Formats: sequence, structure tokens, C-alpha cells
Amino acid sequence: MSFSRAVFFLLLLLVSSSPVYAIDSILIVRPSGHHFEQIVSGISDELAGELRYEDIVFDAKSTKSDLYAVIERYQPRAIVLMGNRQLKLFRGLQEDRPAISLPPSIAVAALFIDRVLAGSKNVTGILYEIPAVTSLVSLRSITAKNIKRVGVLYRHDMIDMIEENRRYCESEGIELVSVGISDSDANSTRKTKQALRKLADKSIDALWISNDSRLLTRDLITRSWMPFMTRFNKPVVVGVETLTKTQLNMGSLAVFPDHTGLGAQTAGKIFDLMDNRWKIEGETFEQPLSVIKHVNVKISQDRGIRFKESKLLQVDKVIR
Amino acid sequence: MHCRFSTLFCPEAKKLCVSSFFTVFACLFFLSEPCRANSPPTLYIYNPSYTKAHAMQKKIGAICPSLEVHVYGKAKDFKKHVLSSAPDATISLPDVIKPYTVYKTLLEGQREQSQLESYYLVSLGNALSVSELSKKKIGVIDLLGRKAMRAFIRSLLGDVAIKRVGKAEDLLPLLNFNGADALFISDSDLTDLKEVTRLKLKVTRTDIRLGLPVVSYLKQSDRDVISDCVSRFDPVVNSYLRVEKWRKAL
Repeated sequence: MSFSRAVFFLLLLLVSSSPVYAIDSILIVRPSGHHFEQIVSGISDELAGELRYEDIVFDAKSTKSDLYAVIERYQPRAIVLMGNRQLKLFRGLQEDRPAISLPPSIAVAALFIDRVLAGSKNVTGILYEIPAVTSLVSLRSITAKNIKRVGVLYRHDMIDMIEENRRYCESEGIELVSVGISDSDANSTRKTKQALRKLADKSIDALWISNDSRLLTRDLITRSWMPFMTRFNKPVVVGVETLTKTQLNMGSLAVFPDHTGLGAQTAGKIFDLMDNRWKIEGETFEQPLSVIKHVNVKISQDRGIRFKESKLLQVDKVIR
Repeated sequence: MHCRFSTLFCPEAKKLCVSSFFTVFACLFFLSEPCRANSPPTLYIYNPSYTKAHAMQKKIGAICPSLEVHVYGKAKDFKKHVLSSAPDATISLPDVIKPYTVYKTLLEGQREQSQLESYYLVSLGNALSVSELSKKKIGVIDLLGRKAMRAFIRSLLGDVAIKRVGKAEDLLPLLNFNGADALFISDSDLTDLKEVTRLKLKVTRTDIRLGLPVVSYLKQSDRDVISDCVSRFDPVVNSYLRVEKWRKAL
């Protein structure tokens, strides 16, 4: 490397990392954990040089008063809330002190954000659940099979989520075939297994397992899902990486959030707020855009499912 | 409750910046040519694609064992690495390489006998033309970062709002979930999109044509090894780079 080249890159590096003073700040309040750190990293990459941020980690003992204290201390233009506990603290703070005006807030990386924050003011966010259509379009593009009818088991309480997914799937020419069970039946391994068999009898091309923790308890996985899978020879799409483990014999494809991408999408919302003078317009919740895909070829081959080899280059991890 | 990390431009950060200056300077000055004399030349590649970077890195690395190949899936990762350890050669879109003026173009990618490709507006519902885009949200793959990308797209499409995504595959959900009124994408991106989706896309071809990937280099002495590497690219690699063949830069 010549000296002039070295100096050039040094200057380039310095210019790109020059501090900017008197810039607005954002407060991030989150739990500890690798995924949350990845989201912060995604936010940080985007904000660099334009906005500063404070990253505050709350633990299980943190309270609404702690949240109010950090807001008071840092006086942020906007708050990013991660994790369900932080969302509940925020909602509680709004309910306890309706007279105070909290900065606009963006909720991410929490389950069913739209439900948790229903009725909360001055808040927007990005949903954490990956829509079925995102996962099923990925499945369709990598499999040699035609995917037209996809089964899903759901609890009656989740009907709104299923209907929204059904609409998105329809636009892609995929029919979501659903079988619902009550909350009480979801506690029964026998009734859950019966519902799965009923679903399998509906001529489906694949199964989508939604991330409903009540349907994915250890008991239900080992005593309902896994026995059902031994005779189910269609692709199964799951929303968590662990369900593609070969020994579980469940998911042939896992599609789950790309946390760095979620951070970048969050930063996009922060910039939208900044461009709108820190005011939220239309308190809506966006769908997540960026995903990670893992394919278990071993499970799929055992079920007689073939993948297009060239399309496997489009997934993040291939388990063989 | 505890604070894990603070990114304010605090006195500590300034001290860090000063110490980083000397560290980086020392690294560049003392550890440059002599220490890298026996290292293979480095080649950094970025091109937006549905194909994953790690898969292409493995493939191109095998084709070009005399180069140290790194393929990046996002433009910002490419930029970060070019700035932190400047490669000896790059392959990327001309608009991505443009800010790094020390690089000279060695080869230009060609498709259908042109080194340019057409760009399209893709929407759902109504087709949109460039003249109808004022204040509309336009989805694009981020090539340059927020401010530079906004300036670049506005120079092409006028007064529009930009919605950036990091990966080509994120364009479809952006459009389907109403994150953008239209996408502004290349011919190659449109082909990939059509292969994946069955949404009723409304496609408008614009008059805008932008450059296909180019191979750039720093040192004259690396030209042959870089040219030799590119000449051995198979159709899979060239397809990933959206080119049919390479020609010497004029």
C-alpha cells in the first residue's frame, strides 16, 4: 500500500466518522439479549452521524418510575421500546400519568405489539410476527412443489391474526386453510392432535405453524405435533429456528426475523418521525420486512420433498 | 436498571477518536506494503441479489484461489469494509464505487451488448409513470446510505420520499404491505421479483438506464490476477452479477 493511498483512506475514514454536535437524541429501552443487541446495531448503523441515541437495558425489576426517570433524564425526541415488559411499562406509565406528554414511541421486538398497545397514544411500531405470506412465498420459490393450499392450526382468540394473514396469502394465490380450537382444547394434547389430523385431511399442500406460544408448549410439541409429523409428508413452515432441528422432525423451513434488518427498519421509522417534526401520523403498526431463512433438507427429503438446488442459494442456512 | 451503552459524542468518544486516529495512522503507515506483500490481493464484491452473499463468496473464492474474496449482501456492509480495510479490487455497481475515486475501472459488465440496464417502476393497483411520482413513497434497494440515496433517487425521479431496504428480497414485502407506493428497480431485480411473486404487478419502464457492475482495481500489478479471476466466472456467478460477459474498460 503506497503512502498516498494510506493517507487517502485515513482521510476518508476520518471524514466518515466525524462527530456531529447538537443533534437530536433517541432513547432505546430494551431487555438484555443477543437479538436485542442486533436490533440496536441495525439502528446504530443507520443513525450514525445524524442522530445520537442512549441504549438503556431494563431488567425484570425495572418499574414505570424507572422508565419515567430515564425519559426525564435524557429528554429524547423519540423512544424505541423493545420487549413486551417494556411495552407494558410504557402503557402503564401513560395510564398512570395521563396528563404528561411522552415523546413519540416506536415499539419493536415484542409479541403482538398491536394488541399490547391497543389504546395507547402517540405510539407506532413494527410487528414481530412474520406474516404467513412472507414465509409461504419463500417456500413456494424454493420447492419444486406447487403450494396452493396451506393449513394452519389456531386458537379462536387469534382469529384476527389468521384473517389478516388469509388476506395477504390470497393476494399471492395461496389459500390459508384453517382449523381453530378453543383455549381449553389447546391445553389437551389429544384434542390438539385431533385438530391437526382434521387439518391434514383438508388436502393441504403444506402446513404453516404460527408462533403462538400456547400451541407450542413442550407438552404439545412432544405429544401432539411430533407424533403427527411422523405421518405428515408435506412441507412444514415454522417461525423459529429451533423447530427445524432434525431430531424434532418438524419444520422443513424456518422463516424468522432478521434482527439487524429490523433495526434498520426501526431507524427508517425514526427518520420518518424526524422528517415529520417528531409527530406520529396514523398510529399504525408496520409488518416486518427482513427475514432469515433456514431450510432442513434432511427432514424434507425424508418426507419426499425436493428443493430446487439453485434456489437453496437464496436461503441463509441449509441443514443437511 | 442499568445503562449498557452510550453513543453520545462525549469527551470519552473524542479521546477515542484521537487515539483511533493515531492507531489507524500507525496501522496504515507501518503495516501496509511490507506486511501485506505475501498476502493475496483482496477482492470485495457487492451486488444486490436474492442469492445469499455467503454462498457466492464460497463459489467465487473457489474459482479465484489467488484472491481473498469477500462478498457482501448489503451495500452498507460493503462500504463499512471498504472504509476500514481498502481492498485491492472491487466488483459492484458503478454508482456504488463512484465515491471511492482512487479505484480505476478494469472491466465493465455487459448484458445484451450494453453496459447499462433499464429501470422500472413497479406498483400494485395503478401503474405509475415518472411524472406522477411527486411526494410518492418509492421503494429502493439501499446502495449509498440514507442521504446519498435520497439525493441520488431524487436526481432521477424528482420530489419523492424514499423507502430503503437492505436486501433485494425485502422489496416484495415492502410493496405488498403498503410500505411503498411503487418500487424503482432494475431489469434484473424485476426478473427476480416476477419469479417469486404472483401479485398483480403494474410495471412501467422508465427512460432511466444505470450501469451494470464494473471491476475496479487499485494497483497496476494486480490487474492480471484480477482479470484472470473474472475470466473464469461461470454463468452462475455472472448471473449473480447480472452480466453476460465482461469487456475491458475504455
